[in-house]
Amino acid sequence: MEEAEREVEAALRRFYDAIETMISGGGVEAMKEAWHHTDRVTSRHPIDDWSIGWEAIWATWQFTSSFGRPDRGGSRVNSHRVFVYGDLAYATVVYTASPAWGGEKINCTNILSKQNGAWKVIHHHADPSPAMQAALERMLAE
Amino acid sequence: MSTHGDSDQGFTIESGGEGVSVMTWGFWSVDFVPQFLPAVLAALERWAAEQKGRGVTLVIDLKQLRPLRDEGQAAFRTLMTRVLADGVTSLELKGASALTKLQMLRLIRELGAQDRIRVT
Repeated sequence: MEEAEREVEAALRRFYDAIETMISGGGVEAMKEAWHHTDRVTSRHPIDDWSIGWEAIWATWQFTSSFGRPDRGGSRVNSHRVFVYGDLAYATVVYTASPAWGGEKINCTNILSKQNGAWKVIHHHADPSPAMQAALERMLAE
Repeated sequence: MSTHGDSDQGFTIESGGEGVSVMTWGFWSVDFVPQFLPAVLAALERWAAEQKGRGVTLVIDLKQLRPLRDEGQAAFRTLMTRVLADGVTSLELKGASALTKLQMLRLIRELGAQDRIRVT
């Protein structure tokens, strides 16, 4: 495996670790660190439409993190593939949400770019997850 | 009809029929949020005065609104509180995307207003 591929894998791992931290009640700072903060970033969560630009994306992570709690963790990356093209890379990921967050298997695509020497996420797309939506509505009622 | 904002973020307010209708869109920046509450409250007040004691309804279309920052959620919370206190006969929040809907449902639960505010 080449150096760039290892770096992208590490950045990808930081992103999914940040999700696990967030859903376990550990806050969103790690998620903030995982992204480049520009107007040219995009995201689509399993329970949302497209967000464009860091400010809009940050609002979604902040709100989502409010459902985080220590007993709600347990997500995992089942498998992933990384493809590097210069300072740009993409990764396909099969992700399983934690049981508290619906436990659904979700296919994701992430694009990362290397800016100022750091690989970070600039695009995240996850397939819709009705189970996650239902789980969050249940959490609201708790 | 009054329009506030631009193609990226905004809302319109229209009065007629039984009440006031608000259409929202985009991601509301911190700078834009303060426009929302006074404009809607003023429209409700004008409409209520014209109705001379008859009921007033408020419908807010959230279909094109992106999830709100804390400041935007606070504006909606204040609006809900004022609307419930000021005798608006019904408040309907319609069409929100999943995350925005969750934001609204949480505010409604926190206010204990599940039977007074409809989310459709």
